[in-house]
Amino acid sequence: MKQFLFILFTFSAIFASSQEKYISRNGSIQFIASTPLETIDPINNYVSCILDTENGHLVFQLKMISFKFEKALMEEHFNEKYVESEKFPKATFQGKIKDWNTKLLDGEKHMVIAIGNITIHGVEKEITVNGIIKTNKINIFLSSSFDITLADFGVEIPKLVRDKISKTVKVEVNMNLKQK
Amino acid sequence: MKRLLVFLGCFFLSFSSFSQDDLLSFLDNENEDNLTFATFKSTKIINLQSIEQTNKKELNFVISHRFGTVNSGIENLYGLDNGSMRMSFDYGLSDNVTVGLARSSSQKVIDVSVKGRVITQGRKNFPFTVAVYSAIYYDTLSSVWASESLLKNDFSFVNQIIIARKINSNLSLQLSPSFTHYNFPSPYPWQNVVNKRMYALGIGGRYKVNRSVSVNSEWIPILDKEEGTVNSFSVGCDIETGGHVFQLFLTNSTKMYERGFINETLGEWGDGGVHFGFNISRVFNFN
Repeated sequence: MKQFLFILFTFSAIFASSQEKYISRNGSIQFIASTPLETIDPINNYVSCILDTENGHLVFQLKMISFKFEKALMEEHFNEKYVESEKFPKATFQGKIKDWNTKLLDGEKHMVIAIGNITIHGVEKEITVNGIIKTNKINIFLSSSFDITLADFGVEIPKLVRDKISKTVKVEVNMNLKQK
Repeated sequence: MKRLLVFLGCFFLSFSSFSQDDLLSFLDNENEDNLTFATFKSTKIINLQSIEQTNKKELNFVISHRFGTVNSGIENLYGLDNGSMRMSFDYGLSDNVTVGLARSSSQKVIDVSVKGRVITQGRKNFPFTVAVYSAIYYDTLSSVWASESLLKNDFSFVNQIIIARKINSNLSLQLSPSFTHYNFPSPYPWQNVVNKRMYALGIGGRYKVNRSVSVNSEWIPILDKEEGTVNSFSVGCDIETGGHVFQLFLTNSTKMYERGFINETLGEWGDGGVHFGFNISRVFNFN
């Protein structure tokens, strides 16, 4: 009997561990730095995200070069002059959902708070953002909207174009995670 | 039973407690290509076409001037009193194909061109970006000088292969083997072009001084050099401001189309026979 239990638990543990991770490689993050002079609202549709439903740990990763701008020249300047995508190719968030429990996965919409470290342009900063989590039978949807300040991440805007780019950037996150 | 529970507890823990770093490593996908971008700031190094393309649905309007020789003295304001100009319109059919139309005041040449990018540095770890450039030149003035005035004699052609590598974020180098074909060589008495076919090797590069300024240079040795022809050499800088790129330089070529500056350069750097010049480019977006 003991042995049977042991085997059962072992299998359930292996099974559970592979069931607990929800992952996406094509989530979207848009940022809006528009001013009256210039529309700047690029979107990145290749954001990776993983959520561990065991403990609420949450990780995002994206390539800066995957942000698509309306104007190709703006995209080039963004990558070459502002965020220096060759030096700092990726941006990440590593953190967890506060007060995690599996009741958040009951299919209803829940307001949650994510706390963790965000790294952009090689600068790491602690951040707390509000978001929404919702599940259906297969997927977990995460969405969030928050503001970041470019100067916090060492992104300098030259004087000449200072009026064209907003100093505070609104970030909108939409993820559709599937079981790994 | 207790021992079993402890064992099981440990077992569960070992599976469930993935750290955030482990989670991050789940997301890494090393098979993706990292394509190189912004090898040069502009579609021209100075005179030579650079590897850069006009992007899809964008019109790149370039206006260029070459002034008189710097050694022409204060009475000509070191050449600034004289100048020739060129207007060119390049349109991006796709991100990899550009078509162009241009008119140069020097010998009143009209040219149409096409530039296509074949492969981008970084695609499957390929070390270079490669493009081909092809242009047809129509001399609206040559029949005045030619002994026989046939329409076909007014055409000439240049084909180039452009091979560039962005060595690091500041330094980019480029090779442009070029082939020129004249339907009628040298209708102009003051030129030394006698061959119908000319081969040359363009060598160019840029070094970024800061994020908005780079120093550029190019040298175009003619491979089957005739007596009297001069190799084009230019040095200058690119200044980028938002939607414009200003290119200011000194060059011994006054012609701004490939056939002209590769094969028909007259100025000598040695005696100050160089010209101040600039290109200003502005991109218009039709997205």
